[in-house]
Amino acid sequence: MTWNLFSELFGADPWGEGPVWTSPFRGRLGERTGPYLNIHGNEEKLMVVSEIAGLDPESLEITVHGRSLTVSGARKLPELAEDECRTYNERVGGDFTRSIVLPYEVETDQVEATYERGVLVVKLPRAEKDKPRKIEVKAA
Amino acid sequence: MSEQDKIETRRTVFAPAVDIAEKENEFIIWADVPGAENQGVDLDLDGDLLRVTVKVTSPEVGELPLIYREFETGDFETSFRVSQKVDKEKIKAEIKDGVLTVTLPKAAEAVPRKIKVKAA
Repeated sequence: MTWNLFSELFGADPWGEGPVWTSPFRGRLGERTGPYLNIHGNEEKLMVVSEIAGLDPESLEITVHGRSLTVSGARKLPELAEDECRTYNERVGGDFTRSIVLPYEVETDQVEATYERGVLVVKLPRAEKDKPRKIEVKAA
Repeated sequence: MSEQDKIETRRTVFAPAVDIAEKENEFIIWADVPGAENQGVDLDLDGDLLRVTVKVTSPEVGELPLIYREFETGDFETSFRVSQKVDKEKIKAEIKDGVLTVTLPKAAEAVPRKIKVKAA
């Protein structure tokens, strides 16, 4: 039986919200906008990739608790003086928080996160105690 | 394979989210280009058209399968018409943490100046 990580993440709610989005950036129409994330993984490790240009590194907080991963931070837009203004504005700034439920428990002290060139990468290896074990059947 | 059978493939290309501001002495353009390669940013001024091309590299995932996707990765391209007010020789650009900042200083004549009035 192939293990479907997708259904692990979303259970019986394929049209649902997916990874929870709280305190989101909102676009001009109130729609949720970034930061977006992609998740790569197999049965042994996960890698969460998110594009966050101009992230304030000091604001970044990554928390892992059981099977939940929370990433929060802020991205500030450059301040302008009183008599200056943005004549054209597509970018959004502010605080963000995203929480996702992982398909398995991870080794919390081996979680690595890097932020480079505007891309945040979080690597999460599966917890040893959560790895499936084969059970030997002893013949009577 | 005849010439017509050959298909040219290109990476997906996006237009980046952009902010433009006018200050007293300069214009500034900010563009979100996460994943930009350090040497992969090209600014090309052709007459009054400023073309920006940014090559992007994705993080190393190796064999790890993609199981959930909210965004696609691709290069960025966009262009701007540069006004006459800009001193084209002095356009500068820098990139940090996936944000490209282009500074376009105004030509001296375009900067508002106060003119002293001499009392007769």
